[in-house]
Amino acid sequence: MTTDGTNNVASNSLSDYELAQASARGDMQAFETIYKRHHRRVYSLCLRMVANATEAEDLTQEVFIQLFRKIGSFRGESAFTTWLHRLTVNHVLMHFRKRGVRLEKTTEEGEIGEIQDFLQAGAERPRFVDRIALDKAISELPPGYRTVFVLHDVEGFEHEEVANMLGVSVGTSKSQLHKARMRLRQLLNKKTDTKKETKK
Amino acid sequence: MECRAVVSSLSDYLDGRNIWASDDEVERIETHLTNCPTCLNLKLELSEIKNAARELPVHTPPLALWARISKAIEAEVPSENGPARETQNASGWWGWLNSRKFTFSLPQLAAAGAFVAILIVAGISGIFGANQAPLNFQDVRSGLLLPEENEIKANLEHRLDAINARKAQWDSQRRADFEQHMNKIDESLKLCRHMLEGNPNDAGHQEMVRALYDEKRRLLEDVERLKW
Repeated sequence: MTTDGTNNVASNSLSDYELAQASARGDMQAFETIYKRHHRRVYSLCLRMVANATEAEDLTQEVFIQLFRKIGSFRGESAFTTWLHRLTVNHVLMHFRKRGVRLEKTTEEGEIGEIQDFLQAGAERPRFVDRIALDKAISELPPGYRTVFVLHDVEGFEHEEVANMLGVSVGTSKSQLHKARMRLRQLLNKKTDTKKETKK
Repeated sequence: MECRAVVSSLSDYLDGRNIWASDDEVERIETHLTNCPTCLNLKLELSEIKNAARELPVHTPPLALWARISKAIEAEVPSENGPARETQNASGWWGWLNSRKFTFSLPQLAAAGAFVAILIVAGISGIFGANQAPLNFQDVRSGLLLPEENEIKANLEHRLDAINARKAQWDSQRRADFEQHMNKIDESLKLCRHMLEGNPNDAGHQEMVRALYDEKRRLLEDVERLKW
C-alpha cells in the first residue's frame, strides 16, 4: 500500500466527504489522506483519555480500522471531524467498559478535597497556564475526572452529551468537571511550587 | 454569600450555565467576586485552565502506525474468510497481550480461568502439538520456546542485522519507537518463557509465542517495506 505522489496530490485537494466516499469504494489512497489529516487529533484524544501511549496507539489503530469499515455510513450531515471524534470517543469508552474503568463516585452535596484545600489555603495570584504542564496534569487526573474534562473542556462536548455518553446524570457530569478543574489547579500549583523549590 | 457556595458554583458560572440560577443569585456571585480577591483569583485560575484546555499540544503517533493500519485493512479487504481472519487473530492476540498486564477485569479473569480449564479438560494441548515434536523442560530452560523456534529466530536475526546496520541513520524518535516495540515484544516473550518453564507443552502459551514472533516479523517487514 505505497503511496503514489500524483494521486496523493489529487487526494489532498478533495474534501473529507469526497475522500470518505472514495474510501468507501476501497480507495486506500483516499483513506491514507484521511489518516494523514486526522491521525494526530485522534491519537491525541485517545492519549488524553487513557493517559498511556501504548494503549493510545492501539486504540488509534482500532479506530481507523473501524473507520474504514464504517466510512460508507458517513453521509456528510455533520462535519467529518465531529463524526470521527464521536467514533473515537465511543471506541475509547467501550475500551474503558471492557477494562471495567468506572467514574469516581460523587455525591451532589459532598465536599471534595480540592474545595476544602482551597477554602483553607486560598488562591494565589492567577498565572499563565503552561499548556504542556496542563497536558501532563490531565494525565494525572483520576480516570473519571479525566474523561469528563477531556470530553467537555478539551473536545467541547456539552454536559448533556457527556452525560449521555457516560450513562450518568448531567449533575454528575458537571460535578466531575468542577472537581477535575479544581484538581488540575492543585496539580499545576504543585508543579510550579516544585519548580520554585528546585531553583532555590 | 459565603466563599464555599461561590466556589461550588464557579464552574457553572464560568460555563455561562446560569439557567439554574436566578438573576439574584448570579448577582450575588458577582458581588462576592468583587469583594473577595481569593474567590476572584480562583475564578481567574479556573478560567485560565478552561481556556488553555482548548489549545493543548497535538501529539503524533509513531510513523509505523499507518503501515500497521493499512496492512490490517488490506488483509480484511480481499476476503472475510481468507487471510484476513489470520491477521485479525494475530492482531487480537497481540492486542490482548498488550493489554494483559494491566487491564484484566474480574469477569475477564474468570473467563480466562474457564478457558484454561476447558483446555485442560479437553486435552487440547495434544491437538495443538500433534504435528510437532514435544518440548521438554530442558528445551525451555535452554531458551527454546517452540519446536520450530531456531528457524524463526535465524530468519528474524538475519533481518534485524540488516536493520540494525541502518539504524544509526534514523532520527532519534524513529529509533526510540522501533526499540520500544521490539522491547515490548521481547518482554512479552520473557513472560511466556516464564509460563512455559512451568509447563513446556502449554499450548496456549506456545500459540502466544508464535503470535509474538509473527508480530516481530511484521514489524521488521514494515521497516523493510518503508525502506527505513
